[in-house]
Amino acid sequence: MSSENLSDKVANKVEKAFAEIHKLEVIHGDVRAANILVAEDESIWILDFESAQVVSGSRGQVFIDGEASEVKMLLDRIRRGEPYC
Amino acid sequence: MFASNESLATGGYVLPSTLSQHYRFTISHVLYWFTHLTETTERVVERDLAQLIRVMDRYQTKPVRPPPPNVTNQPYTSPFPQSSNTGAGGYGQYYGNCTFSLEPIDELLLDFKPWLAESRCGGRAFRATLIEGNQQIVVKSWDSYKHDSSRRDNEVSIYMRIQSLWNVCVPHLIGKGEIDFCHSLFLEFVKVKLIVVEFLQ
Repeated sequence: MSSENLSDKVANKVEKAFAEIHKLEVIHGDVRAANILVAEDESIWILDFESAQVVSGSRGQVFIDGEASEVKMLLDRIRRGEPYC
Repeated sequence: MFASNESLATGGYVLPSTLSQHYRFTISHVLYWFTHLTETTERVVERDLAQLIRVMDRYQTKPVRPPPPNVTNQPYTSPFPQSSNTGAGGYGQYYGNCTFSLEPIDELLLDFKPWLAESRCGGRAFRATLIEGNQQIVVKSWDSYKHDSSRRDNEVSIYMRIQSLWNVCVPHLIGKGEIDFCHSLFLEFVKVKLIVVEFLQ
């Protein structure tokens, strides 16, 4: 498997994972590479919900959108193969 | 350090033979020898201190099964709210459509050795073994002299809210409690694929 394929695969899974978390009206609050684990079976695990918050309503959506854009920036760097730590 | 070899003994202490034969050795020689010993001896880890750690104020996540339906002609409706926050995605495959709740338990024992380098998972996280079931877990601890339990409790409440993602993209919350002077929570251990980090960077 080429590194490019693997980066894309990981990035897609991370994107999906955060989308699922946001669906439950939760923002993680500390999106960074150190809080994302890639397991031996290449599954993705989101960790460290210490700064997480439950958000709801239109104000909550603002927070969710903000975090989604943070996630997108991180994933763009992963997809481009740039250092992301 | 008492002598174990009489030929090397001088005044009750072990010295290298080259020094013990030298009649004008000084304290500097001895200090030099101790430095040499620390460099050449393998690091000694206090493994014998290990005891089973008893967790205080213990709570563990347990699946709550809906009661079996009565045999009637009426369609059965679950007494539990049917939200999206059920175990459909995570443990749903094992426990059916049930939610998890955090319940007090009588005893929680851990094999927990935070002083070992191999137990450290970074930050506040340490590896440990749950005695019941011999399950590997991660213990996340907050020093109660510096933090109250609000951070731990917030994290636990978030894990309970996103339980439909347990074992999907979020580790399974096992429980919470107090270990000595630390507020702690216990999570499923995830074995990391380190090679991916090299690929990605």
